[in-house]
Amino acid sequence: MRKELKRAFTSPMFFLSALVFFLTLQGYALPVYLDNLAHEPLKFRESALTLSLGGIFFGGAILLQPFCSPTAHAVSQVDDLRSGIMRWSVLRSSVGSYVTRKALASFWAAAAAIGGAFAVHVIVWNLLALPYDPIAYPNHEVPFREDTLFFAWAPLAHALPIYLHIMLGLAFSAGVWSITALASAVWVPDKLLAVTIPACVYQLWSGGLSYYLFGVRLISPATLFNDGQTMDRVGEALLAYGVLLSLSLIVYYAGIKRRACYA
Amino acid sequence: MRKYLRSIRALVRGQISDWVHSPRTVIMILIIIILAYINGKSFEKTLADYSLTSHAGDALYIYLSRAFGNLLMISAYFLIMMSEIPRRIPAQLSMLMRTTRLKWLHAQILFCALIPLLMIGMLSLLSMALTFPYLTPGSGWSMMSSDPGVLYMPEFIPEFIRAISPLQANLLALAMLFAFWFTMVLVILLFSLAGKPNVGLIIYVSILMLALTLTWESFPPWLRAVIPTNYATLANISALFPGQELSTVPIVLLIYAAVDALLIGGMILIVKRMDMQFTRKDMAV
Repeated sequence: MRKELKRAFTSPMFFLSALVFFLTLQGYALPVYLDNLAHEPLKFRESALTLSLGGIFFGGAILLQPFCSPTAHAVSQVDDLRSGIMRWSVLRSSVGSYVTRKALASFWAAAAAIGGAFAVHVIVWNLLALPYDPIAYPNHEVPFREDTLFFAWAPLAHALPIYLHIMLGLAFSAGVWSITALASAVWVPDKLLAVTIPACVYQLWSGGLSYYLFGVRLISPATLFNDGQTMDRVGEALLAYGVLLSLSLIVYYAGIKRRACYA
Repeated sequence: MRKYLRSIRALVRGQISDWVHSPRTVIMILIIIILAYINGKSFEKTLADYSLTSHAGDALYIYLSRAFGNLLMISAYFLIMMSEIPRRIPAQLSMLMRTTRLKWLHAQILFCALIPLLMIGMLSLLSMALTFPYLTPGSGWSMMSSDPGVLYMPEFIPEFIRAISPLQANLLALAMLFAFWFTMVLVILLFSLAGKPNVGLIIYVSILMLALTLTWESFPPWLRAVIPTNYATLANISALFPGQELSTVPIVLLIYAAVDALLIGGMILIVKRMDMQFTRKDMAV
């Protein structure tokens, strides 16, 4: 496990994944900040909270997160298969222990890359812009709905609970997407597909495929890090991600077992 | 000429046959079809919600002018599907032995033109098949609400398009989408031939992702005018050049043609000099 984690956290792909997600988050913050800097006096500029969350609420970070998550470590499954190291690893331990090792390392690497990139992004914008303080700067006020968690959390410690909640939401969902990538990589060992298939699943899920096929509306996959959160919605989203995680692990286990037996 | 056409046909058939058996192609086509299905169903719902009467020409125009509802993601998946051209298979060398480099290149370019056309044709057929039960018989423009209670509805067919016939509008929308995808595939082919297959891919992935992530409203208008995705569909062009949409379209198509000619010229130069070797890249173990 230690070796796998070391491999995950020292790989250039881990840093690439974090860097791409960090840059994605700047897609909203940087142009708006520069525009504000040129045209608005300090007290009318957007707060650090808006700049930090804008890339998620209004930009494309949500769509790119499932692309970036598998890049951190899950794509290494393709290398394991192509080099033949997977078979030796399974021979020296067991299918179960290989799956556990790989899944945990991929989960933690994706969670750290995505969550870490968001944390750095928040720190940078809290240093550059004014921290969220609607009492001193009424212009900072973000109209969160009254029945949501963010409404209650916004006045606390410059909205620190919101940042923490979104960071954890991003990290957890990134971890789940990386397991989905492992499940696809073991059946179709192609790095490009391993990165793309989780994004496709995300797209079909958020596009409402289940509604058009079966008339069932699922909770949005972006619920854990998007606006309008309540305890019920968070619970539903965790359940949905839990189902996805379980399915992905089953498919991944079956793939590794099949390859170990018949490769 | 007949011999030339026969050999080109054989080369293209070989390319297509290998391409459709690639896991990337199979999986991405499936995803794109499902995305088009979601868009078709969503359009059905719109027709029902606003009690709209829609002729076949209107519906097809809405699909084509908006790249089937999801320009960026469909283009990204299409890009992945086309990420390996020329196909890195040993058969390419056999083909080259039995023909000339230029004929081989012509076949590659024809392949690049055929696939976007087939893609657009397949998505149009699928979308229209889904919408067919909701269409109203008739010609000319429609998209009017039959419910007097509907006070507001989005502008599905803009005024400037109503000045031309649905057939002309559909041809323009088709030409724009085809030009964008064809140029995208040519860029990938050029860089592949130049020995840098990932560069073309990175360029287009960056273009698509920048269009998705950057807040363009904060940028000066001249910068927005150089973003390629703004010229991908008729809907995007009309948003960028309000009031002069129809006069802009021929200029944009001419620019596409010039860029494509330059790319093809570059490919001819490269192919005449290159050392050809093909090693499999997306092979599944």
